[in-house]
Amino acid sequence: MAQRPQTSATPTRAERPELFPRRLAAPARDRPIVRLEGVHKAFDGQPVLRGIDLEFRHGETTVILGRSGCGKSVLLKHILGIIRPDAGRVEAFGQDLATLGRRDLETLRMQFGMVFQGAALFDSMDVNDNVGFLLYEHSKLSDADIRGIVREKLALVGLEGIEGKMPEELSGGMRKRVALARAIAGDPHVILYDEPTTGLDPVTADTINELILRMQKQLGVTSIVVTHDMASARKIADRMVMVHQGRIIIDDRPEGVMASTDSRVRSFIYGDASLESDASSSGGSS
Amino acid sequence: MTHRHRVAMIEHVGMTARGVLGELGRFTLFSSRVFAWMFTHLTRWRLLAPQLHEVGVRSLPVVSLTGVFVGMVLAVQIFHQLYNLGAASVAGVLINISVVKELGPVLAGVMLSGRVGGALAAELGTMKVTEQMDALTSLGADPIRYLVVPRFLACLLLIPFLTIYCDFLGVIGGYIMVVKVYGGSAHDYWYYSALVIENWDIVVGVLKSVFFGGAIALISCYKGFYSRPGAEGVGRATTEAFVLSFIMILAIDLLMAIFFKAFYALVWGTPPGVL
Repeated sequence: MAQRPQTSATPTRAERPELFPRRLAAPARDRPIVRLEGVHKAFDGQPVLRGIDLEFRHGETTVILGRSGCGKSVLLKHILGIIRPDAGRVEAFGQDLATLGRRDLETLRMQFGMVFQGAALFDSMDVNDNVGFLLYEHSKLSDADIRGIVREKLALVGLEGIEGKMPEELSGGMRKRVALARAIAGDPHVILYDEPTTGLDPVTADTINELILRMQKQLGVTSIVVTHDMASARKIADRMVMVHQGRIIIDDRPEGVMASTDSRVRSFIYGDASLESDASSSGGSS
Repeated sequence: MTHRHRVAMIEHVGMTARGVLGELGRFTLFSSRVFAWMFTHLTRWRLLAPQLHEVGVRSLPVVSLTGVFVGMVLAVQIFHQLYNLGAASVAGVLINISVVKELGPVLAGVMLSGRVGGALAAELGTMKVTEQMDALTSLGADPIRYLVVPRFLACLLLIPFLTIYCDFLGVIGGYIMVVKVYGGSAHDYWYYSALVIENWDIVVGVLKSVFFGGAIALISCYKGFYSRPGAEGVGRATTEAFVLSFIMILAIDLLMAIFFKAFYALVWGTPPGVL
């Protein structure tokens, strides 16, 4: 793809808001930005979520913990309206997702950025088109301006000069960082991370953790991170929520979770299955 | 048969019927969403152009081979039989009417359901299982509008042209065998073909191919769109896309043959064509 001449400065959302994707006003700071109420979901008769009640607050990094297959990623997709609950209610920016029409739902989704587990980069597009996708689709910015914004976002995640590369030319860590750059391209209020460190070596995983922290500090975003990586959770969490068999079993500050005496929580934190099986054989959690 | 067996059998039939009806309902909803997007929003050239290239340009080799071989094989089967009856002069008519009315559109459709349909199902299935479709949704783009409509339009627009191209090469293939290999008369080949084959025959073949194209695209995109997770899921979606498209091509061919025959008789008052 031919490189366009670089512009000296790309317009910011504050300077030219009319050029950017539609933006919703964030609810008052004392109100939750996202709320789930009694959310149930089953697939092929198999219950995955069994009555989830959760609220996410402004500027907070909430880590949702849980074993593989416990419904963490499904929960995340409920927040974006990609999956609809069988029962219960999902509210974001003060709006009930079930009542929104297609356009309103699209507008709402643009307030979020999501980093998928396998990065989910569009493999038919180069990095520039992947990162700039939202802006190409929903903004009135010129191609040169979008390229400028893409460069800025890539620089923010520590990647430069890779705009022309295809996803298959990137390493796992780079793909995750490109996915993060794509998630922040529209300056979202909330970033959702689905297993951001899974499949990465410890050093690369830590780089991703640092980026998550930096996004929160520099952009002031609300972060919701789904993971089963305790090292990552300890580093980034302001709050930890643990899902077990479709229910929330603990929702506390990291210190509270680490000090929990619940055998299911302890078993997960220490990665020791015997703690849980010991407790169940001796009659349940303490 | 015991009472329990009878109950189990009825239960099985009921479950199968429910599954088939459910699948039909989902396919209908899927198709209506495709048509709704297609008629309410213009598809951008940026999305359509790569699909036109994929469906059109990249299908040319396989369609060329299909066309040439169909014409040649028909000539091999027909020429000597007619020659022994002293009717070698009408070999071109039989070859060409078979090519333009039936074999060209149907075999091009079958080849395209393998090449294009398989590729569509595999591509969309992979996008589904790697969460690229969810990523599209999260970025405010509807996957049906963004992925399915351009592919559907590309098939609808280009498969008729590919069929005409296949017909043309079938006619050339027949000519090569009849005239260049068996030494038949070139004049007879073209003269009797032009005399007997009506524009109607060509139009019927091309109209069929429009429906074949639509069916291939809808079925293949549907199968990819609702692919089950994993490599096995994508593989199964691809196989099912081809098999279902193939069956639909045969069914559409039969229904349209009956319809066009009745239509011709209604408008012109006689059955179509001499042959």
